[in-house]
Amino acid sequence: MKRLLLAVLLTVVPAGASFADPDIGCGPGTQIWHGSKGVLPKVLGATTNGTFGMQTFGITFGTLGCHQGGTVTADARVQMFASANLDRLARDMAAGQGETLDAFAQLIGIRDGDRPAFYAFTQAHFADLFASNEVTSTEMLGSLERLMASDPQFATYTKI
Amino acid sequence: MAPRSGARARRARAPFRGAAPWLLCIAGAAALAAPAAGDSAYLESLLARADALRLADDPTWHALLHYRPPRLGGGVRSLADDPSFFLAPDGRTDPRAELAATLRRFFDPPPADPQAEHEAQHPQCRFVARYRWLSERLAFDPDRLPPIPCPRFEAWFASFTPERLTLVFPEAFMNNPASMFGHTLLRVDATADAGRRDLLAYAINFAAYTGGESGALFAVKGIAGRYPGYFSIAPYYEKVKEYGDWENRDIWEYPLDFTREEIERVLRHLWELDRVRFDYWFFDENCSYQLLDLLEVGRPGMRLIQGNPFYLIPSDSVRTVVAKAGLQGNVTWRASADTQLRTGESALSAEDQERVLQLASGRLDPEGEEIAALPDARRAAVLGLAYDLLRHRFLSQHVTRAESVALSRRLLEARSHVPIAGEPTPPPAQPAVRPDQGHGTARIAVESGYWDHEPYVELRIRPAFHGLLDPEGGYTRGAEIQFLDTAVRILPEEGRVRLQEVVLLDVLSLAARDRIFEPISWRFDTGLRTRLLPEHGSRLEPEPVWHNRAGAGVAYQLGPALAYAMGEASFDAAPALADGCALGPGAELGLYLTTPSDLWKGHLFARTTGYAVGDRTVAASAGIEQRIRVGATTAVELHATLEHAYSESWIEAGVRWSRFF
Repeated sequence: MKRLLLAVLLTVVPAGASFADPDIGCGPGTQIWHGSKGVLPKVLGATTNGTFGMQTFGITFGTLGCHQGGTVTADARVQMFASANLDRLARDMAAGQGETLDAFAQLIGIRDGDRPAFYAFTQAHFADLFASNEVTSTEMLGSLERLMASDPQFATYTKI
Repeated sequence: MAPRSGARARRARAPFRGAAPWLLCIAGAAALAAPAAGDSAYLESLLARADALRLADDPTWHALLHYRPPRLGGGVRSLADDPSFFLAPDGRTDPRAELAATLRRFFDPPPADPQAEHEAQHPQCRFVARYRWLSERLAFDPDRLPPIPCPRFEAWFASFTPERLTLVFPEAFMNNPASMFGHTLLRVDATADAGRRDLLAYAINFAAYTGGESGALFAVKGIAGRYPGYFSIAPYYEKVKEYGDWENRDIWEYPLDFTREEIERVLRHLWELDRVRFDYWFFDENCSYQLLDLLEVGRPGMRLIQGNPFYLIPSDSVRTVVAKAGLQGNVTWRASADTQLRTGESALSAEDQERVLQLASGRLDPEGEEIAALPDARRAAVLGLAYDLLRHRFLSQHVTRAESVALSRRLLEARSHVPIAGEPTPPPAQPAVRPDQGHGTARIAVESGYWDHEPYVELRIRPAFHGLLDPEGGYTRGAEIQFLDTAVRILPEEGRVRLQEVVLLDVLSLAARDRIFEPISWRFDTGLRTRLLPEHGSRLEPEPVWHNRAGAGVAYQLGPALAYAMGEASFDAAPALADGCALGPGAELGLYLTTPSDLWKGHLFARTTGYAVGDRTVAASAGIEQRIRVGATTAVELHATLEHAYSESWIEAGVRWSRFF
């Protein structure tokens, strides 16, 4: 009986228990692809509602505040976004469309008129952007920057 | 990569609100004129005017300090549990003393370091919302009370460019006690010319700091108010990832009818709440409670929370906000990753579904002949869904990253070769009934029936929340949570009244399995019930019993019916039981059937419990319950059950009228 109750309890809470993993956020276990390494990926990692883990608490108001209580720089926002959303970004780039890709294009400043071409561009270059299984968001951004620099339509966009 | 006139320029022209620009000019002068701190005559006149205007009794002051009448005794007490939030020693319970102390501290000399953090900030900067409100009401003379520059606050504030405030409601998540009633948070939407994208907006969240504790321990400590709660801000995409991708909760987004000025009031007050501790109470002072108080600051006098409720359910708070704050524009709905996957999958033919399964498990080559032979639209759909399925399995920890990353990349690379932009399958449709349009969470019912040949009239009250037979609209499908469902039976033949049931907690999660998803259905309930027990070997008599049951099993959708099977364990305790208790395994089979418009819903069931320890007997029952929805707030139920125990059989049948409010 005790064991059965325990078994039932375990089936009740598995997700909660696993999501309380301190590695949650951008580390292994939540994304198929690696986010960037370093300070930025630690920015957030809230778990289930009504609760959050240590690192979120340490930087309450952290998104805005991880840069001296002020705003996060534009570069950092792009890095953070790509790092946190790499799985969805990859999905959208391969499909040549999607909300995550749209938000990303907004963040890096793609003009409205260039949007469809930009989406198609990421789709066409998917294999270059995600060239290996171990690609990180930082490397993906670097590849994208190089590819855009050598493209007549997107060369006008400056470095992040 | 931004064009030269991009994000940076936008930030540069972000509005400096209020006093900021000229503040900077006079900052130096103010520092030189530090004796202003000693302008006690001006302070006294401000205090006198504040008294004359009765500002300490003003709803705005009470909202800013989170004052509330305590459950016992008179006066008020702030919900903030952090001493640093108060400038007067007794500020937590004395609005007038706090107001006086606040005014006095506004005269503090300017800090040596204007970038100081938190408590080290000048009171004018630490409490920007109090300062702004008091300066408006008392018309501060900048010569006699010099404004202090607040560069940290201004930079923070300028990053929002707010235009709209959206109340966000992720639906219930049954596999975590913290999330069973849904959750609420706010989203600050930027202006259109700041390039508004929902994912890039900031989300305001109130949450308990649990240090990683979860599950049952969280439930116990959360109910007992043992966790500190804090406000935090995160990009909305993080919240979509948490709720939509990891927990697979559909998310509702309610744009509120708040003006920019009202939103800015909310944000200024949020700044004051940075790192301020509020003890988190699962039932009352929870996420929704604190968010309502925050909204109240934006528009004081809405009275979003009346009195001092003992519990506040997130979906009820959504109802309140929609009614009192109003909406602008359409409520939107964001399907979770699983909802998207299920919808996409259901649009495919059986053979394409099989291809998705094979692709996701690596048994079919994404670039192979079979896939290449498919028309573009089907190829795009199959490859995309196979990736989604693989990601679902990865997030639910059925495969590791090492097992999935190479295949993920091959699937997406193959998808990128299909010249189709976007998803070929139709997106999930927004449910017809929103959470705020569902039935009220409290229910009263009157019932008349027979139990073991004896007629009864029953009065029943359930404070919260939703039973599976209740109208479905606005609630998470297959999720039942009932608290304190209490029934009293009047027995006219005996001329007495009996407490029939007090079900403390009843939770049931039925989640359909299919070829892709394999969730476990489960239940738990505990409370006082009435069982028919043998009295000294003679006929059966009703006796109160403490009944507990837990079970786990599977459910399948068969056309319009949701069928389930569960293995269970029951434990009963009562003086009337032999040995005082009864313990044993059981099983239940059942079927829920609904008409498309949910006008009628039926439940067929059969269950048995083999009490093997203590008071032994094999109890069995089989029956039907059905419900007809009458209007938005009323339902009529009919039920009939054949029951058997201690070698006797009897019937319970009744008709029940229920009203939700």
